[in-house]
Parts: sequence; C-alpha cells; structure tokens
Amino acid sequence: MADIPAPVAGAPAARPARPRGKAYKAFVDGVGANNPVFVQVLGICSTLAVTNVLTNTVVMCLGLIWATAMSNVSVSVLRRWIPPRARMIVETLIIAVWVIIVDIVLRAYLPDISRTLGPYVGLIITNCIVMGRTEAFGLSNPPGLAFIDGVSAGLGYTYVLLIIAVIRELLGSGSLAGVKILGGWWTNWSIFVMPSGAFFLLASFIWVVKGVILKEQKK
Amino acid sequence: MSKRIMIVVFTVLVTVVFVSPISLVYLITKPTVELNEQVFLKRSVLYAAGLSVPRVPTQIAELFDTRVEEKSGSGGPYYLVKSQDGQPAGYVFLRSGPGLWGEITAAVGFDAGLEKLTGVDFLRQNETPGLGARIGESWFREQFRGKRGPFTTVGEGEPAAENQFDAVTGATLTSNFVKDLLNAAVGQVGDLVK
Repeated sequence: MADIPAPVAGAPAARPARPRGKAYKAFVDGVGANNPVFVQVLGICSTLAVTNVLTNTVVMCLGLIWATAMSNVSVSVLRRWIPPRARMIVETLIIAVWVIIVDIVLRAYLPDISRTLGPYVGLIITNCIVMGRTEAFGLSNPPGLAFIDGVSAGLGYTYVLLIIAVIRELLGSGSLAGVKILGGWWTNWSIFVMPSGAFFLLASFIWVVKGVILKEQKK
Repeated sequence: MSKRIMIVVFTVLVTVVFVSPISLVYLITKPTVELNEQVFLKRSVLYAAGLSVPRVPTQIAELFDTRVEEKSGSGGPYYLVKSQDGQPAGYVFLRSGPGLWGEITAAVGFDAGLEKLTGVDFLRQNETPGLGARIGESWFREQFRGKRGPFTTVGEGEPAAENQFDAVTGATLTSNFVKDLLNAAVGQVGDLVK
C-alpha cells in the first residue's frame, strides 16, 4: 500500500481506486510514455503537412482530438457487437463520420478557416493515430476510458505539433498565426515552410525526446 | 455461413445508423454553405473592382446588389461595376488558369476603359501553404491596383514599374502562373465584354 501516489490518499473513500488508476494511466500514456507522435511515430504525414502555419495546426489538432475521442467512444460502445473480421471497415466508417461532421461544420460556420485548411480536415480520416487508438484501446475498453484515451492521444499529438508549428512558422515565415513577429531584418528560412524542413525538425525532436528524456525515465 | 451473413447485415446496419446523421447535418447546413460560397464570390468581385469591402455578409450582398450587375459576354458571365450615380465604372472577370497543385481562379478587375487593373483577388487556389499560397496575402493582391498589363515580375520587395509586379520569394512557379493568368486576361479583355 505504501507505493500508492499521494493524490489517491486524499481522495474520498467512496471512489474506487482501480478505475481511477486506469483513467489516470490512460491519460498519462497518450501524453507521455506512449505518445502517438514521438514514441509510436504515427500521424507523421499530417505532422509534416499542417505545421507550417500555426492557425492550421490549431484547428487540425482540435479536429483530431474530437475525432479520436468520439471514434474511440463509438467503437467502445459497439465493441461487443462488432464482428472481428469486419472491425476495420466499421472503424473506418465511424472515424469518417466524426471527421466529416467537423468538415461540414467548419464549412458552414467558419468558412474562412475551412478554405485555408482545404483538404487537410478530411485527411484526419487517414490519420493513423485515430485508427490506432480504436484498434488498440476502443475495442477492448469501456466508453469512459476510451474517451479519456482518445483525448489524451489527441493532446499528445497536439502539443508536439504546436511546438513544431511554432518553430516552423517563426523561422520559415517570421510570423506566428499570420502575425509578423520578426522584423524586416529576418531572412525567412524557406526550408522550414517546405515538408523537408518539418522532417528535420521532427527527427531532431524525436531524437532529443527519446535520447534524453525517455532514456532517463528508463533508468 | 450464417456468420458471414451476420457480418454483412451488421456492416449495412452500422453504415445506415452512422451515415444518416451526416446526411442530416449536411442538409441542415447546406443553405449556409451555399450562402458562404455566394459571399466569397461577391467579396472577391467587390475587392477586384476596387471598392472597399464591408465585413458583414449582409452588407457585402447589399453593396454588390447596388453597384454590380452580372452580364453575359462571349467568354461567359462577367460583372459590370457601376459608380454611385449608375455610370459604368469598371468590369470584373473570373479567370482560371493552372497553378502548382491545382487550378487558380481569380477575379480580375479592369477600369471603364479596360486598360488598367482595378484589383485582383484569388477565389480558389491550392498553392503550397507558406510559399505559393502567399498570393492570398494582402500585400500581393493590393499591388495590382492601377497597373497596366502585360506583366513581368520583379523580386519580392523590389520596386515595380507600371507593368510589373512583385513575385513571391520561394514561389517562382506560382508567381509565373499568376502572371500567365493575368496576361491572358489582359490579352482577351476586349473580346470578353463583346
């Protein structure tokens, strides 16, 4: 009993400890030790595509958090009825539904952002993180946990993308979310606007995180 | 055998259950989406005509209705822009041309004499975000007012003559596509209003 973390000790006795620990683990996993981008190296394609302008990144990430969480919940609700052989078809269908809803809503109520994002929103469907979470978690866990897991995987993706987007837009265009930050003296590094710049940046990011931070945790 | 049928039945059922709400959302938002498209078009035409574009969609529609008249010419529809007292003040044409990744569609505005440009706005473009897509930025679109084609390009930030415009750095191909699109419009403008 001694190794129970301090916050649990102060919690009301009525709350069972086990599900809480699971929820906590599901959440921390996606953001840290099991991060979809720098640990599982999933969703790389969109990491390269949408991180050159910060505004696009933010909308894209919100869309992904929504899609992952809702798809994970839907798959989890249906998990007892989905035939194992047809599960991929069903998962893809469910993911597509939640993503297309985002696309339609953006088109109707945020037409300017929908224009600048173009086809990227629809491409959330093909983001491996969403499919990965429904396969690995939604199919075998209750809806509540699946929701937490989806949000956490989405957040894990979001903060990595935000870091990359800030660096790319700042160095590549001298601005943040379209607002000029660096003055006229700054020469834009066009390579950071191109997908190849994102490759270098993402690789360096994974290198630093895996080589320094995660290594220390293992010790 | 019955297992296989179950799979088919389940898949069909799930598809119906999940696709119906999408259809519903689509039908509910359809009028709004179409209205947005109209606003985009009107906004671009007004901008290319050199009029100051209001921010509110209803005001955009109002200004468009009082100052712009849709006409049909030999090259498809075009827009006749009237001054406040109803005299013809200019013309706006929708012109499409190839881009780097997809078609570029621009609203190109001319003065009443069809000689100088009153403005250029891009309705549709899929150029590289951060590079070619910067043709959508204000500085790029603003520079065409009062210019006279056919055009050549100069480097970004360099002073441009009356028949030149600043290209986008790192997007030479996109800049050239825009140049070709505008030069084609300038070359054909006399026929377009016939």
